[in-house]
Amino acid sequence: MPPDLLAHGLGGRSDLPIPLWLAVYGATAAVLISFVALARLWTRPRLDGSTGGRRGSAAVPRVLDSPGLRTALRVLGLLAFAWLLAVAWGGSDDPATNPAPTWFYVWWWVGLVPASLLLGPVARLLSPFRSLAELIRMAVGRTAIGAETVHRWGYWPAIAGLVAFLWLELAFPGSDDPRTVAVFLSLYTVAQVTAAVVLGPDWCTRGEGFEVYSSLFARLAPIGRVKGNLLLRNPFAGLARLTDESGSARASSVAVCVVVLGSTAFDGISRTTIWRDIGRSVDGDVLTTVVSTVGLVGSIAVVGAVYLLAARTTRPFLADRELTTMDVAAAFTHSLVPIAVGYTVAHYFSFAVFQGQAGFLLAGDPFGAGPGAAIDYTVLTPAVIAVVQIAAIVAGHIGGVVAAQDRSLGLLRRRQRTAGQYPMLAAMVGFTSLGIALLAGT
Amino acid sequence: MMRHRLSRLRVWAAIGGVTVLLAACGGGPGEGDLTTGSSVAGTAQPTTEAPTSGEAGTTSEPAQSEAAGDTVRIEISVTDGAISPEPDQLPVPLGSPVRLVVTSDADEEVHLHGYDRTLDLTAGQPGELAFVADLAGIFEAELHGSGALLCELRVE
Repeated sequence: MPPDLLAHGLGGRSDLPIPLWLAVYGATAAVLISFVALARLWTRPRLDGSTGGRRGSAAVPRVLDSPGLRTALRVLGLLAFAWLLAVAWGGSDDPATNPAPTWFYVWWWVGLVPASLLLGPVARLLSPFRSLAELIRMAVGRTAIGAETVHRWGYWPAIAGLVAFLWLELAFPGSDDPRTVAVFLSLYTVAQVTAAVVLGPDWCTRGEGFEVYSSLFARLAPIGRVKGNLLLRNPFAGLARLTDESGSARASSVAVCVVVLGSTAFDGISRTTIWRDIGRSVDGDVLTTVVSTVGLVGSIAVVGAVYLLAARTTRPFLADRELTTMDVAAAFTHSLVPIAVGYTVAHYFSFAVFQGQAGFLLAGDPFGAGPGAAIDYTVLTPAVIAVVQIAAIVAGHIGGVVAAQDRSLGLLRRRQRTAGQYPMLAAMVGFTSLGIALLAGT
Repeated sequence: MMRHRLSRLRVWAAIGGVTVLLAACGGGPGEGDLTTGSSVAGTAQPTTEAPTSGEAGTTSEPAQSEAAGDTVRIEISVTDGAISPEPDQLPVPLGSPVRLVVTSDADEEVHLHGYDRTLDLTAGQPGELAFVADLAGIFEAELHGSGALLCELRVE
């Protein structure tokens, strides 16, 4: 059986490559802006999270922080999740008529990004896993295992969950099959709820993949906690607080960003001609899955290696000679997040707008096998899609450079501030160029 | 302070200069570039013909004319699960009528995504799907039963 190597098998439509001139302009803009940042338009760290956005932060309405709202959101999350599971198990086994895969891959997975960017850690607010664990703990009683066990593991459990999901979405053939979604979600729920019951709610903060993913992007949200109060804040100040990790969480916090960036890069790579040619030379589902898995892991590994190399090359320029490569890597992790946002928007924007419609259109008859969704593909023209894609990548690059530049001012030796930024800048230009190249060629 | 301001000025001047240079020589959007999406891969030309083992199905393109209006005829045959010619990305000018002819040695169903067309196939009998390619993008055509990819249509 010939392999079907298309990334998210849902939808069966991909974007056209962007025009070459647009790609060149975008890449040039990105590089130019990087040099502007190098010119040190400000000389002291301004976006440091320690001043915490107290400057210029405004209060938000009290109701947003009320327990009533939080409980309502949890109930909503639990009910929606139960409904998703019901439709995934009970609906038709054709993704064209069953809305569950669309709800899961588009509304939830892709939707988490804009929701978290705007509103904060949405996954935590809705988390059905936390809700279920709390209900069980109320019935069964609390265990004595403390938070130290969880903290020792850093974010690695969450990364394992995320990689499992990404493998399902990007490497597993037939990932759009509703039953596959149902099985994955059921197993995932059992694992997460068990861990949360045994280890306490702290597990979800560090160990639940979707929550960690959402919290990562929530760093850029304009609404967040400053000294315990929910306030409107400068997104970059929130972003800078990402690197407040210590000890075991450092390496894993770097790994979260690397995994997110690397997997989105692989999504783009898997739609190129080169990848399709590789796929054609491979026969059979198992071998295809192996090849895709190697591609996914390889992309993540390459992104990680490039980033760590840049961190290592920055070390000679540090004011504090005691810092290790991992310390440097952890200090700059937050600068990868805007780039990851740019990548995600560029690769999933049109997919969300088109395939997302199916979630509405099929919702009226979730268990039926009626006609498929008549998605309106004319809401976005190729021109609009191309402009949004390139703008997202360039904006992500600007965000990353600004964040890195501000962090460098605090870490590098005064006289070598310009030279010391080159390695990280080079890595970011590399990621952005890769992003643009993936958009421009299939 | 003064030096800092001067060096900033120099940086902005340099950026302005490079941008003007680029705009002048880099070439901007061609006529209707974004809308017809002329891309890295070039204009609509037949992709290299996949090496077939002498099977019936060949991907024929209107090699001379790229204008929308000429019918694009695509022939694919499925024998014992093997697709011939091998699944590939086929350029189709936006707005052209398309005739997709598929012959399978087993009862199957062809599904063209995006355009949301289905074609029921009886074993041994060629089935034809005729439509106008008015949606831009890259769309998969697949066999519903086996899930195998037949080809991708690149409409631009």
